[in-house]
Amino acid sequence: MPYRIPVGPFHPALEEPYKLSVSCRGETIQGVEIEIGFSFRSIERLAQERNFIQGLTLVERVCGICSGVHTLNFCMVAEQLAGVIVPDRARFIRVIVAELERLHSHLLWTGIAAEDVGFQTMFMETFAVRERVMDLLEQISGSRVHYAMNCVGGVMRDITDAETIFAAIHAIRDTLERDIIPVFTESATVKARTRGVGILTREDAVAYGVVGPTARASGLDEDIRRDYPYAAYPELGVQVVTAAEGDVRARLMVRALEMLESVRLVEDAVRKLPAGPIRASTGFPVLPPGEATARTEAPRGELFYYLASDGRDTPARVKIRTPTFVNIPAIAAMSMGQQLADLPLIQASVDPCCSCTDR
Amino acid sequence: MTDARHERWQESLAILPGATALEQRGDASWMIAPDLDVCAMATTMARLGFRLSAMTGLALAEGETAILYHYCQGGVAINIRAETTGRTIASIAAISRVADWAEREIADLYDVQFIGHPNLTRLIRPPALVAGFFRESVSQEKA
Repeated sequence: MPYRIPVGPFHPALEEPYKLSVSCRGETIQGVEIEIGFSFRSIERLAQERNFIQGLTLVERVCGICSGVHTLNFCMVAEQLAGVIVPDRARFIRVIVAELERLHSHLLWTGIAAEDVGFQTMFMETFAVRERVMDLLEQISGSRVHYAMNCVGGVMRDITDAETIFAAIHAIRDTLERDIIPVFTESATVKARTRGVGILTREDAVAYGVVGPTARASGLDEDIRRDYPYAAYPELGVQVVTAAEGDVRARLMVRALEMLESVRLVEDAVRKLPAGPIRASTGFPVLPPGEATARTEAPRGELFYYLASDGRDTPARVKIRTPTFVNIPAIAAMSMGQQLADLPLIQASVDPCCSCTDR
Repeated sequence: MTDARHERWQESLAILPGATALEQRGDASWMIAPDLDVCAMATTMARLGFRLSAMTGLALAEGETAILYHYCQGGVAINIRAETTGRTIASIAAISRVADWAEREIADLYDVQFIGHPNLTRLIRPPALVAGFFRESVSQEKA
């Protein structure tokens, strides 16, 4: 007898709310309906009621994990409208913060994935490494969550202690290479729980328009850092990681290898950090009437901003399309024909961020 | 982007009903085409291999809304702007699955009817609330 079971909005695998209404026959999933909006804060509309400086602070609150990339994107689109050229040193510092943010986001996901497969030891090991990344971000920015590093025209703080960053980043890389990645790629337990589970075919990935690691794990060779280069990525280069299988294991592998690439990018950016100013000017530039768009590669994929200005000090329109907004619907395709017991892991494999999705 | 590919895209878009010329601004191309046949546009963009990245609603006078379709492909970004008539516009959800949620959100926040959408239910806010929340400013409400 077919039946329906609600999963969420208060979730067994996540601390953020969204709802899956799952149709099952026996233990096999036959359909999934998805509901969002439980943490809608109307940030786009609020941004249109604040000046650009206040707006920058506001968009940093879209997400508690990828907060920095939201300010980066907001600054990039404002800089485009104002015709501001960001100094070289600031472009490199933006990469360092963005890649540390990706690293701690991927480690957060890895820890949750470990917990979801019942691997508590690995959860604790992963979160211990993540703490080191958070400490590094705190050392650079003064904050562990909302870094307030980006401003229109550059960054707010300089990086002066390269040696401490090198030491920390080498220790993080060693732990990733020695413990975390081998366990996630070679452990029989992890393989058994993730291989062939929650497959998103390449065709479905294209149809749903998924982005980021979710897209790359289904064989789509897309990365905004390479395809729409920004900050210092053109000088540093990006090795895009893809996998063909499209299952939970592929999404896990892509994120695991992306962490090593983030470590490489941080190290390279610190080593090549050019001398010079960190801001184009001290004041806030005038934004003339006009409209512009900007894209960045957030930890979960393409983040898109549209900004319209009518020449006043408040934006006429701010549109934010977060990666999870396009990734969550694909959970329906991943779950079809799967076992109900695998659903927590399948939906977690998208690394959904409901705070971003609902805005 | 090669000139030949760019020319092919421009030619394919130029023959769409209601199309206007593409204009290069910043890193992206823009088309302002209030009366564009958006279904023909979405079909063409899918055939050319462009991904629908996002859709933006912009409140216009008398309850109308501008709809921006933001496309991308391999380093190329194209933004196409159409407008509602009588608060309605054709849905492209049957052509692009990405538009499904994007149109539901705009319908909710800007009170737009997307004709032909398979399930134009509220995405973000509860159904009991009046549609068009983003049309009025917070300041206006307070006043």
